[in-house]
Amino acid sequence: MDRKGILKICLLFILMSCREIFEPEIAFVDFGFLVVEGHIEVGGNEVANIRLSRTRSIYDSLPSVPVTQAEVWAESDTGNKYFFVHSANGNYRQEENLPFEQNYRLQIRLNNGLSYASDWMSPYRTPSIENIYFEKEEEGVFVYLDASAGNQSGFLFWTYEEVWQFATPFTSLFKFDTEINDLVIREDPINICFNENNPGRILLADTESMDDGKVNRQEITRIPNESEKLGIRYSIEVIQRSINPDAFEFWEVLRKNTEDVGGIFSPMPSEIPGNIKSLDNPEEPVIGFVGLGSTERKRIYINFTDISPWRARIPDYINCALTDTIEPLQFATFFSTRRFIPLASIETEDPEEGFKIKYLTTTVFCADCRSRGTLEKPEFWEER
Amino acid sequence: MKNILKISFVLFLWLMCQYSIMAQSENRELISGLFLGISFERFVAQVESNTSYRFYYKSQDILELRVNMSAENNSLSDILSTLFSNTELKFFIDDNQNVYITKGVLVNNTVHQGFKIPSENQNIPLEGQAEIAQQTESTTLDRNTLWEIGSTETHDGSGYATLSGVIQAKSTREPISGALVTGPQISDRIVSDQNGKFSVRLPLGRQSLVVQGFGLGQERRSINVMGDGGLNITMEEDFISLGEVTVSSNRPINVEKVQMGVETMDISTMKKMPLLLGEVDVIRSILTLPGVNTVGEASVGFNVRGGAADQNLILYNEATIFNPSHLFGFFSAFNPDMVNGVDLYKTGIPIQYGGRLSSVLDVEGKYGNAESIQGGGGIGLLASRLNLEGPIGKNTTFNIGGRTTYSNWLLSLLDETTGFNNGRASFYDINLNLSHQIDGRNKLLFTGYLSGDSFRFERDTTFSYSNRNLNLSWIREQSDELSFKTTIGYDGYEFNIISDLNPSNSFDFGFDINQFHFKSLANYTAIPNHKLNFGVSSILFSLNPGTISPKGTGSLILDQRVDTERALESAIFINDEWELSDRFSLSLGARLMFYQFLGPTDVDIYQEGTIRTAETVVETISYSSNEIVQPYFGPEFRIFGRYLLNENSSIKAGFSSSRQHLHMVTNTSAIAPTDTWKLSDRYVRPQIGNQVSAGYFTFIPSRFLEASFEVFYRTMDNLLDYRSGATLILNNAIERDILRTEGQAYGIEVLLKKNVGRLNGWLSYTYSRSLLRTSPDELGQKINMGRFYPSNFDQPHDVFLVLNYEITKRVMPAITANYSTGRPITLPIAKYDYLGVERVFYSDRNDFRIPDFFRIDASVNFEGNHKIEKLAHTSWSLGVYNLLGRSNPYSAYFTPINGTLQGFQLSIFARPIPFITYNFRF
Repeated sequence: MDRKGILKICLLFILMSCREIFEPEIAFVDFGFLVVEGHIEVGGNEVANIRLSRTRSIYDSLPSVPVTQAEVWAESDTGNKYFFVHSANGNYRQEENLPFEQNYRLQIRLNNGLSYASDWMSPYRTPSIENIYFEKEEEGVFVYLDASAGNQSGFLFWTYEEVWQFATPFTSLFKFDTEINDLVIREDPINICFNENNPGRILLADTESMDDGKVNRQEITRIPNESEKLGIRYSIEVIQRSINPDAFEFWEVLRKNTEDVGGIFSPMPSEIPGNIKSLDNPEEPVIGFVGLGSTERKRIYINFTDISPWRARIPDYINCALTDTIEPLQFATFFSTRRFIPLASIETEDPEEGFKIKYLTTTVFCADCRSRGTLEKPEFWEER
Repeated sequence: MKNILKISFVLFLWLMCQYSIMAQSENRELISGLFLGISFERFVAQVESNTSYRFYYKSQDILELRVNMSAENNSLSDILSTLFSNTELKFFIDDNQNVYITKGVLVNNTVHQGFKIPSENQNIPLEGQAEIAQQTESTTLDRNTLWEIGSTETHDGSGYATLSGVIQAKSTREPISGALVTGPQISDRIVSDQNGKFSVRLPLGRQSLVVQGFGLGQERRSINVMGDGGLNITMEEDFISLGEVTVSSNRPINVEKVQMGVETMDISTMKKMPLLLGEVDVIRSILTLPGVNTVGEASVGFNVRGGAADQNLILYNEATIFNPSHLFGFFSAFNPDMVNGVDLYKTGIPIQYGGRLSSVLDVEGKYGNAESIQGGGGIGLLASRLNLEGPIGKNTTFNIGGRTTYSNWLLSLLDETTGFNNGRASFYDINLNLSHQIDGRNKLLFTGYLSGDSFRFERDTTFSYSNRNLNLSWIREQSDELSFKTTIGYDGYEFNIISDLNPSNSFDFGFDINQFHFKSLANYTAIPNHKLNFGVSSILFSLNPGTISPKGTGSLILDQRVDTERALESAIFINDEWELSDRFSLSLGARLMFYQFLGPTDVDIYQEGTIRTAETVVETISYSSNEIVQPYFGPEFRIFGRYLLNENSSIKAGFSSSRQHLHMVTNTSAIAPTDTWKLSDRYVRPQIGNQVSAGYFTFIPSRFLEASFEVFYRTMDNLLDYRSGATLILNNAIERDILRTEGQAYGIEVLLKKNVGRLNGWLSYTYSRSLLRTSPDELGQKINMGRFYPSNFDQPHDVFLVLNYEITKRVMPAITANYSTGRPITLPIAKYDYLGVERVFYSDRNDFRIPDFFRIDASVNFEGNHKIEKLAHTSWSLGVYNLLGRSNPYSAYFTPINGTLQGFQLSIFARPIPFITYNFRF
C-alpha cells in the first residue's frame, strides 16, 4: 500500500503544529559503531565496492570516518576466498569475478583484531531494466521505470544518480589578463556547468504481488516545475538490484527510519536488522546489509526541448543584475579582485565624451558557473 | 402556641396535597429489598414476614398500587410516603408497629409537619406568613425563617429524626432530581431522587440545611428538628441547566460501594471544562482522571493503568465503538447532547462486560424526555450539532441528534504551495435513541449510531472511515426478585483509502470489522444480603483485515485480500454482591470465556523451534467453513471486598483478571487510521491480564471533600509487538512478524474532589509505570535484547487539576491544568553515511523521553437570561486551549536540513488556540 498518503496526514498535522529545535545530551556522545556498506557482485559486470566506516555523534560536523587497513573478503561455501582491495577512503574494491553457483558471505578483520562476518547468502540474478521514460505532468516531470519480468527474489531495489547542466544568467565573453592588465577574449565559456545529486533515496518494490514479478511505471523521481535540472540537459542513471526478503526488511527499515520519522502516525523507529555480526561480541551493534547478486543500470537523458516549455528558475541567481559599465581605466580596480567579471563590450556615443567602448559587468557568481558546479564533463556524458 | 398550631395547620393542609405524611414510630425496623413491579399486597406480605409490622387497609384502596423500588435499610415510613406520593393514600404507624392505611383522611392527626416560626429578630407581616405557608415562592423570608420539624411529643427518643421532602423547581413545580442536600450535621451524600424526594436522618436541634445542584443555585433553611417531619423546598432553577443534571443511578457513594477503580463523570461536568476548539469531548474529559493518560494531544486513544489503547472497550448504550474519534483523533465521536455521562472502569469491570484487558468506558446515551418536544444544539468553530427529543405517543420517547463539520475552510486557508488547500476533511455523526414502555414490566430500548469521516488531500487520495451500530434491549421485570436485560445488536467499523493519482497505480484499499452480539443479564435479589447478577453473552466477529483492488482498467495493482477472520466469543458469568455485615461486603464474580476461531481459513504450520518465516513453513492446513480452527477457554475473575472503617471512610481491595481475543495491529505510538484488527488464532494467543488493587476512600463532610487513594499492580501476557520493519498492512502471515510481549504496570492514584460549592473541581495525581519485554520464549531478535523497556505510554507522573468557579449563575469560569512526564521515545544516538547520505542510528527502544508536558486551558461559560418566555435559551462558551502557548512536544525526531542533521520536536498545539461556541435549547 501507498505510504505516501499516510505521510500526507502527518504533514497536515505538522502544518497545524509547530516544530522546534531539540538537542538532547545523548546526541553528543560518540559511539563509533562499525558501518558496512556495499554489495558483492556475482554474475554481473560491475566492479563492486564495500565501504567501512564508523558512526559519529549526532552533532559531529566531521565527514564520515573511514576504516582503513582492514582485511575484507568474500568467502564461498566451497571454501574459496575472494579478497577486496582497499582503494581509498575506506573503500574496498572487488578484484575478481565470483562464480554464480555458490553461496557467499562477507568477512572483515579490522587492524585491531576484531572480526565480523555477514550471514550466508545466495546470489540473485537481477532482471534487466526494460525502459526508463519521463512524462510531463501538472506537478512536474516524472521519471518512470519498467523492469523486465522474471524477478525471482520477490523484491527489487533501486537507487539513482542525477547529473544536469545549468547556465548562469549572464555570459562572460571576456576575461581579465593580469599580465597585460587588459581584457582578452574568453576561449572556453564558463556559463554552463554540470551539477550532480545523489539523493540516497531508497526505492523498493514487492514484485510478488505483481504479474510475473514485472514492474510497470515505477516512479523513480519527480522533477518539480521550474527546476534547474531540466534547464539544458539532464541525465539520470538508475541502478536496479534483486534483493532477498531480509535485505528488503533492512532497506525498508532504513527508509522508514530516515523518511517517515516524527509524524503522528509514523512507525516507531526500530533497530536495523543488518546481516553483519561481530564474531567477538554478539551484542555489539554493527550497521549494514551486504547484498549479493548482479546489478543492472540504465541511463537516460532529458533535453529541455523534450519537455518545452520549461522555464528553469535558479533561486541562487535571483539577485543577479548588471553592475556599472566599466571603462578600460577601471579594469584593474574592478577585475583584479575577482569580485566582478566582464561580460561584453558596448559602444557608446556621448556628445561630450565622444565615441567610447565600455564593458558590461556583473558579479563573478552570476556569470561563472564554477561557483556552484563543475565545468568538467562526466565521463559518461553524451552530447546531444 | 395557638397561633403556631394554626399556621401549622395551614401548612399541614398544603402538605397533604403534596404527599402523604411521614409518621413516626419508636424502634423502627428498617426494610431492605428489591421490589420490582409487585402488587402492594405482595409487598405487605413480604414486609410482614420479615418484620413485626402489621398492615391494616381496605383492599379496594390499594387495588391499583404497584411497588417498584429498591430499599436498603430504609424506614417503612419513607417507603410508604414515596409509594403513596401520587395517591390519596395516607398512613399512620402506631407504637405497636401497626400500619394503618386510609384513603383521603389520616387516622391520626397528632403528627406535626413542617412547623415554622418566624425567627426572633424578624417582624413578618401576616400576609407574608400566609404566602410562606403555601410555599409558592422561595423568598429570602424562607431562608431567614426557622422551620420547626416534627414534634418532640411523638419522637422516639433516639436523638435522631428523619426529615423528608420534595425539591421542586420554582416556576414549573417540576421535581428536581440530583440536588444535593447538605448541612453541617449531614455526613452522607443526600441527593434528591427522580421525583425530587429526599430523606435525611438528622440529630435533634437547631441546624441549617443547604440544597444545591448544578445550575440550581443554593437554598438554605434554618431548621429546628424536634422529631420526624417534612420540609419541601422550591428552588430557582436555571432553565438551561435543567435536564442536564444527572445523577447516574449506578453512582453510589465512593466510600460505600464495593467496586473500586471506577470513575464517573456526567456531561454537565464535561461541558464546563475548557476543551479544544470548544467541542465537548467525552474522551478528553476522562483524561483528567487518575490512571488515565494518552500518548499525545491529537490521539483519541487513551491508556488506562499502563495498558494499550486497544485494551479499552468503548461502549455507547451497549454498542462497541471501534473508532471513537473524528478527524483522526482531534475530536471524540460522541455528540455531547446525546450523552448523559460516562463510567470508566479501570478494574473490576462489571461482570457482564469482558474481552478487554484495561478498561470499559461506558458512555451512557441519553433517551428522550417524556414531557415535551425539546431541542438544542450548538455552533462552534469547526462543527455544529443539533438534537431533538421528546415523547411519541404515551409510552415512547425519542432522542435524535447529529453533528457535522465545516472544517473544509480550515484547509482552504492553507497556503497554495502546501498542496493541501485542495484538501477536504469532513465528518458527521447521527444518533437515535428510542425508549418504549410496553407495560409495567417490559421496556424496549433502541440505539442507533452512525458516524463517518472523510479526508482528502489534493485530488488523489481519499481516506474515509465509518462506525455503524444498532442494538435493541429488552428490559423485563419477571418478578419482584428477578429482572432481565437482553440486548441484541450489530457493531461495525470500516476504513477505506482510494487513490487515483497514477492510473497504473490506482487502488482501493479497505478493511472492516463487524460483530453481532447477544447478551442477557439477570438481576436476582431474593436471597437476603445477596445481589446476584448472571447471564450469558456471545459475540460473532467477522473481520476483513485488508483488501486492495485495482481502481480503473489501467491499474496494475493486483487484487489482494487478507483472509477474512471469523470467531465466536461466548461467555457465561455470575457475580454476587454479598453483604456479610454492616461494614463488610464482598463482590465475587467469575466469567467463563469460550473462544473459537472459525474457518474457512488456511493455517501455515511452521517447523518447531525456528522463527516463523516463509521458508520455515512445513505444511498448510485448510479448514472448511465454520470448522473450529483454534479454541481458547479460560476464566476471568472479579473479586473485591470493602470494609467500612467508619461512616465516612472505607478500605477496599480486589483482584481482577481478563482475557482479550481482539487485538489492534499497530506499530505506531498513537492509534493510526491504518491500524487494523486481528482475532486470536493459532499463533496470536489471547491477551491475558491480572490486576490486584487496594484503596482507601474517604469523605470529609466539613469541607465536602472526597478523597481516594488507590494502588495497583498488573501483569499482561501475550501482547503484540513486531519485528523491525514489519509491514502490518495487507500482511497475510502476520504471525511471522509478531513478537509476543509481556507487560507489567503498577502505580498509585490519588484523587481529591470537591463537588459542592461555588468553587469546585478536582485534583488527580498518578504515579505509574508501564513496562514491556519480549517474551523470553520468543525466538529470534528480541527488542532491547529481551530486557524490560518502558511502553510508549509510560508516564510516571501525571497531575490534573480541574477548577470551576461560579461567579454568578450566568458567568462560570473554569480552568484545567495538566502536568505529566514526557513519554518515552527512541532517539538517534549516532549518525553514519549510507548510500551517500547521512543516516541515523537509533537507541534501544524507548530509552529516552520527550520533555515534560504542561498545559493550562481556560474557559468561561456565559448563560443567557433565564426568562421562561424566551424562544430559545442560549449560552456562550469561550476560552483558550493551551493558554500559556507552551509547545508541548508530541514527538522528537532528527532529519537532515540542508545536508546537516538536526533534531526537532514536534508539538501539535503549540500556540494558544481560542474558541467560541454558541449553544441553544428550545
